[in-house]
Amino acid sequence: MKTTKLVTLGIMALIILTAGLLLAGCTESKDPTTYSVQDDAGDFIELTGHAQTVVCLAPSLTEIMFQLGMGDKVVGVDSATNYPAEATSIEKVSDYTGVDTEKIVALAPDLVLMDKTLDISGDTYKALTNVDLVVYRAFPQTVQDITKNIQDIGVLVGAKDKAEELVDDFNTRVSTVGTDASGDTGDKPVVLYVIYYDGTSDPWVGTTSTFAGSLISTAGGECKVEDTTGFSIQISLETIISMDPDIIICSRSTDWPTPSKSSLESDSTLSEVAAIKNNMVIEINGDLIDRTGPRMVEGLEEIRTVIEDYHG
Amino acid sequence: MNLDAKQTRLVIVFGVLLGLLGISMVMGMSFGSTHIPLHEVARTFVSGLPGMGSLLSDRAEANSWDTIIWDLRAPAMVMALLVGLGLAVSGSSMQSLFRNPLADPFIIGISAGGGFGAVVGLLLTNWLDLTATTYSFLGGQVTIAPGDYLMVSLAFLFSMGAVMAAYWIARTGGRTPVTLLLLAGVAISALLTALTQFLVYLRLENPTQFVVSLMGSVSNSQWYEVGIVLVGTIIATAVLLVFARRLNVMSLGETEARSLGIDVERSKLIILGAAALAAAIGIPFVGIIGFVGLFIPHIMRRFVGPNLRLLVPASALAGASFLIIADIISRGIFQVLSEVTDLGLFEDTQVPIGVTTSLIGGGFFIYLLILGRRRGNG
Repeated sequence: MKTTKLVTLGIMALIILTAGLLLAGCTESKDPTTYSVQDDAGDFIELTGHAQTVVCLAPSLTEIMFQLGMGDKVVGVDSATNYPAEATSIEKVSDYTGVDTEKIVALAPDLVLMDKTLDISGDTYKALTNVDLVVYRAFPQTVQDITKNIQDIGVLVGAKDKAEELVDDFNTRVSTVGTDASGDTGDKPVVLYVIYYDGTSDPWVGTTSTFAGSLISTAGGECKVEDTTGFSIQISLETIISMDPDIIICSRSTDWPTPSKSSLESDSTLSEVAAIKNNMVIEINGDLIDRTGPRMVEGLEEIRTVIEDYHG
Repeated sequence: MNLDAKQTRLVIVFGVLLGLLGISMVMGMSFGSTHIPLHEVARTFVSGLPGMGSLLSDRAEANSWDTIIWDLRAPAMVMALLVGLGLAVSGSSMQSLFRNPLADPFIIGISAGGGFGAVVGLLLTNWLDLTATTYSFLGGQVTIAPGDYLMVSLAFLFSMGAVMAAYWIARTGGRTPVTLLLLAGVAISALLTALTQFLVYLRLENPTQFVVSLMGSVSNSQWYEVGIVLVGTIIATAVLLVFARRLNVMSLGETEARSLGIDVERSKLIILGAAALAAAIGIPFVGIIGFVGLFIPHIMRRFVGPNLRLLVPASALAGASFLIIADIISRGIFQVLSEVTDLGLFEDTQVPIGVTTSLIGGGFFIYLLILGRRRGNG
């Protein structure tokens, strides 16, 4: 009984002692200008001087930094980061199981960029702000939202002009695809986007509420997988047969072999599906379609090329 | 002071346990993905104590070390300590209460109930938008987190409900057969785990993160969360210590206890409640951690005997040390594996703490079963 008392007393003392914890001193900056943006979670992010060191907790955000010409400011990335090649040698501070807060604190970044989609519970955000890090949360819902992220990050890291340039280019290319698509004659092809299928369980596919769905409709196709959750879902082979897609686009991973195309083509139950009968099962780098970064416009253009081939 | 042989032995056992706890606390503060020299860990720790003034070194990393030690490693270490303590205390009391060496919070349904309550609480928290707010108070900071209070309460209620249901199902004619109790516990655990998964998928919260967080991790624990667990653990441990003498008598047999004037049913309910609280309080924050409550009391019984007034504190100390060490193993195992095997494993990934404890505890459980079988046959 006595020992337990001692232990509990000791722990209580520890807790009370933290009250005396001194706050980390603010670093002095030569640039006294305050840069402020409102992130996608509605928080105002304020920096005195541009961020000189940045941690990116999603591959898409790393891509934005590099496209802004600010790749050398990135000091920490997510383990799924694979583009551009030079980003892969940057220290990994997070993976699919969560973030290594300690490593991020040790890197002492001026700014942490994260994607709220990967942190629905908010635990990561809570852990990072608890140690007084400045966190910008991207939460793009539409293709247009990506340009807002590019502009915001441009303001915070001191690449405002480059960001405007990127956004103009992005918007021009998106509207070019839209204009081309509006000139299509005949029925819109039904396009199914398969993220993963290996023949053992139902295929994972993009839906009307995912980015893939909106890219398909912008490019002049029709996505027939209705869903509102914003997540990719599994559908049965039966559904695919009755949907009878004209085009099947398979996501191809740059990191490991993706069996989707061969699994679909070798499945005898699907042999009468239009896309398979007419050799319209096409592989596209999935990072260009699922990743909410500046390269999504490339994914859009590739889908458009496939649809143009379909129209002949 | 003259000590007989038994007392000397107890002094040694408790001395070793305290020493072990001290060493694991220091280790818990010293290991992490960032290398901080041991003397800098000590310096940073002392510097954070009130009245010490800043003793931080003038090295550039000193400020981030301060954050790492005081805001990341210390709360995680204390969280592991409290959760391990709670599980071991809960296990030791339940083994006596059920007169069954296999009664463990994980097996009997407490953990599954707590997990279900925590998930219901989390969904309600998101739905009602209950956010934690931090206020300045007397120079310190106080965080009021209604969502966390809700999660903790529900975890407690459901774990209590689960263990009472298992007990009620297994009770036949005034007796509670061991096998029946375990089977009921397993069935209720399975049911609650399935319900938890159903909820996770129903709401389409990011399922991976949910599942990973239920598998257990003390990293990213925050001081206010540690505070909530501290309060619950102190209350539960205190109750179990107060009832230790009564539980000692009850473990001889309920009829004997009744004839000695003990209100058996009432005591049982209170002990069950305290045991559920001790095991469930940490679940919303660190997830489900298995088997600590099973094998820590087991080992301690060999050293201090079945007397709960000794067994509960001994289990508390050992459970606390064990979980701190299990956390260090969880964090470091991939680093070690990738250095030894050169397989290109994710050296930065950490294994959920529940995996580590279940690996060790599951192995021990099998060992117990084999031992029991041999004895039964011989």
